[in-house]
Amino acid sequence: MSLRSEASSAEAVTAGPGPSESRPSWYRRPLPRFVAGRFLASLVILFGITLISFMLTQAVPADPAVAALGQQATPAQLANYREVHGLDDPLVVQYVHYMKNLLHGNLGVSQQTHNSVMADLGSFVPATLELALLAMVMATVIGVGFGILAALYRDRWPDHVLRVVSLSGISVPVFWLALVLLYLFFYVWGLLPGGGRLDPSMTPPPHVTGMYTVDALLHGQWSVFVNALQHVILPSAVLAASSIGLLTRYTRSAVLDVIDQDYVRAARAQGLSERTVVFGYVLRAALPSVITVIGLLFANVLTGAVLVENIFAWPGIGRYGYQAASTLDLPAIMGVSLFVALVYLVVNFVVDLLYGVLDPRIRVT
Amino acid sequence: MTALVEVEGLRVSLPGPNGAVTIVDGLDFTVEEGEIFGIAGESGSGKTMSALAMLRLLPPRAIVEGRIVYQGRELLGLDPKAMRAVRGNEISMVFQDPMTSLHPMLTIGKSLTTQVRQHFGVSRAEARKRAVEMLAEVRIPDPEGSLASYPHQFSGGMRQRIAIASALMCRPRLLIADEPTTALDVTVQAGVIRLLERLQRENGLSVILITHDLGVMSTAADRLTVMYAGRIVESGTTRRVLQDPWHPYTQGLLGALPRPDRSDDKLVPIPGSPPTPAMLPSGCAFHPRCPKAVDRCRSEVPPLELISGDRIACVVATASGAIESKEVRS
Repeated sequence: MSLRSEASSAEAVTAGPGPSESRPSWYRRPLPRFVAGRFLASLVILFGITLISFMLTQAVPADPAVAALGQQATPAQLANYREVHGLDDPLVVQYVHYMKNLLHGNLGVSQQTHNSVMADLGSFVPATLELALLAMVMATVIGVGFGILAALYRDRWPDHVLRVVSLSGISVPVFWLALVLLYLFFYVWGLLPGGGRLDPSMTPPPHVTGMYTVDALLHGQWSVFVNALQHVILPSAVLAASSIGLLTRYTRSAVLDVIDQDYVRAARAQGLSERTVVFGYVLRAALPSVITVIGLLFANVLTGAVLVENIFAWPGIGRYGYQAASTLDLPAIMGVSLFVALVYLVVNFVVDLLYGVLDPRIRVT
Repeated sequence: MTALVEVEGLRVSLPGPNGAVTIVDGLDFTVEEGEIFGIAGESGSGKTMSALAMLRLLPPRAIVEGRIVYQGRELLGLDPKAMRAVRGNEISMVFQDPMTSLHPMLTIGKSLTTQVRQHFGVSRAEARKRAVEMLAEVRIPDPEGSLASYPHQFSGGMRQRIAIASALMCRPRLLIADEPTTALDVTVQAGVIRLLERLQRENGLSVILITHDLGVMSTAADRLTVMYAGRIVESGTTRRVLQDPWHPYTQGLLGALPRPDRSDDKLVPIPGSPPTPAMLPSGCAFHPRCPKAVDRCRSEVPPLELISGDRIACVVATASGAIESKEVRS
């Protein structure tokens, strides 16, 4: 039985459930197949989202014509409005019409700003994106760092201290934290500005990404960059607080899940440095689950900045959505909900992809 | 032959809720250069703990006493940095389950080369060359192509070969193999054992082979130590210990071993189960399960006595005089 005892190639490679040979060659490679599959799934979900967001506006107990023209409008004006906007057509026709507009990038006109919703989103989304990105950078660096520290010092004093810190971050109300930080940094110490994206005396940098800090850097406008950064720090920190807490907890448990694994012990038995063991082996194994949480938190932060944006007078998507909802601005509401759904879709897609890249075992299935 | 590593009076204890619990109690053995040295015993007898203690891989709260002298250097006294230079480089280890001992998200190439680069500071290309050599040596088909593969693409036997290749990347002189075949199919086991034997023969590698499987032990080990409840009960050449066991525990282990050539013999299990370290019986820890136990066994810890080169810790066996007479006969 030398076939079994010495290495035979049949034993070496466990062939996966390979797709049939008739498929194109890229399809047989695991990663492209994985990407293609996830992308198709995302398209299906996107279609579902448009359907739901369309149905929601139909279900709202308000007449769009009245909302648009006001209570004083005459029946003739209302009928005319309905005629022009196709509101009397069957639902299916209306949906097809809506989809056609959507595919052309036409989301309608906001009744509140009298701009096209697309243009509004274009100016408000970058502001929120700037806020959310900085918040997530803070949350990732601090939260993952704290989580690793807590796991390495499990049940010793650093772990206990970080447990208190992270639980505070999760449970402190956003508006309270925002007001306290504003009071200290703006009112008492005068270190940071109180709201807005730039000092009134400053001119916004030329539009490239719409994020002032990035655009200022791109154009070498150093003083604008510093000013914009000073404005974005406080709201980002407030936005990051709960994410830091959650990430600390998640990272800690993800690290503890793998820290006693054989391959970590094997890495130590090979005489690898503690840094390599912690970052190259432990954190590497914990990364996929941490990335999932980071993705979800990013989507949360991007779409849930309503309170922070209102307190810091930040002209972002949260404030826009809030005002649209309170004035029953239907095109704006639909635009914002589509944006929110899209954010979750894209984030989940990216997380799925990263997961496949980070964990080779996922690609096989 | 000269001694590569000498272990003297190794004691390992872990703090428990009711004070420290001794897991390994006074282990002595010597591994010669180029031999396969076996440590046998049931699970929980302290085999793995002793192996981890030798590489100082036990959790920091574990208390390790005694002496572990590797080529004149006392390992327990080394500072962490010097100890790290010993691990992988001089003494290496292979673990029981190859499904978990290789990082599932790192390529084989990455797993194998990191240590060479850290220990010797060689280039990536050089480390990869060494990895290909080593994979070929453990008979992995297509060593070159395997570098980009992940552990899940290999079968258990192949993974254990890769784990062995990984352990030998820096050409250590001593390999501690902790139950290297236990998680594998019987047919694959033989291949892994033959691989260890070949590496020992061709490279002068010393191996500490830890296993509860006396069948595996009989083919591979030159000398054998049997452990029970953290102590050595018997040691000697593998031939002598397996053909003419002195200790009732060793006799019991052999009686429980299936023999395909004598299928009509009934297997005789050892009654009872091994004690937990926190509640060791008084005297000889084996006496509650021992068919030959006398009153002395309950009160007196049997000393490990040296008889014609071999060692035995059993007052009954020593007193009977049977050992010497058998020794004369062989």
